[in-house]
Amino acid sequence: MSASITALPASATRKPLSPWQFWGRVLVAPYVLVFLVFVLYPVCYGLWLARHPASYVRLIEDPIFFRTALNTVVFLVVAINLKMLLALALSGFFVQARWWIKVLAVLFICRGRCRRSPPSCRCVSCSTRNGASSTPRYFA
Amino acid sequence: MLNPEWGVINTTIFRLTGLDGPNWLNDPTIALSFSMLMHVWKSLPFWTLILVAGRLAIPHEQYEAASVDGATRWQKFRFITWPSMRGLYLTSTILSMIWTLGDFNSVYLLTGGGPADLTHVLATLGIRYLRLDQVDLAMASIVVALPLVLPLVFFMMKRLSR
Repeated sequence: MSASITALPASATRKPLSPWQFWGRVLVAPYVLVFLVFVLYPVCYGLWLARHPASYVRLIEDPIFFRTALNTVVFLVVAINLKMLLALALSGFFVQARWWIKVLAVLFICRGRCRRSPPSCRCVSCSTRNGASSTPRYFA
Repeated sequence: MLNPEWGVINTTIFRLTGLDGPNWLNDPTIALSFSMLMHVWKSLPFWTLILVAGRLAIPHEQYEAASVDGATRWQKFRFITWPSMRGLYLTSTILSMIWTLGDFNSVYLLTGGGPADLTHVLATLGIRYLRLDQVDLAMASIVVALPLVLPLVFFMMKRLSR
């Protein structure tokens, strides 16, 4: 009797979890763990590696860097506007209610989802077999 | 496809004309253009799907009313479709910019940053430095992209949480 009375304040501050809450926490734990190990830790480690101002100076002095920044901006401006305008035009085409357009739409969407290995394999193999390409140069 | 000796494009050019096609990936401008094209080809279905969804959300009555008023197709687009899709279009563009900054495959698989390191983007430059064992430079080149990404992400969050 007295034991249960002394135990009461502790249980009032920290209520036992309901089964829903308990299993919710158990099931979310793997995700949190993976996030910590594979996302948060690498990002923090990367920021820690990039802490020296000297490396930025060397980066900007590298003649490749300016071209890279320019390429990135060009890529962003040209590729994205082209892509979005094409997508806008295509979306106007695909909302038309004709049966063959619907078939084409399904094929088009599937093309994007099923593109996995063949095209990228071909690209890798040709860029490594092609002597003019730069990929093997890094090993030299 | 773009390989100068046995790629599909140059083989076809040779069959049709008997001439050797250009060495596509040896010119930095053409190589970068093709990697952009590959990026567009890769991500077009997704954005088309998003914009189709946006178009389907426009009430059909508006188009019927416009037809009754005798609007042309361009007028329908200009005064019905575009005003209702503008927000979606802007949001998609920003999201696409954020993703494209991290897009490494379309440049790396096609050109590997070459010829003579002239077609790198920031994402592939990081990997280049990693392969040269300059980890701090690699991380610095990624961090350099942050001032570009963070405002976009911030703007995006504000738009989406409105």
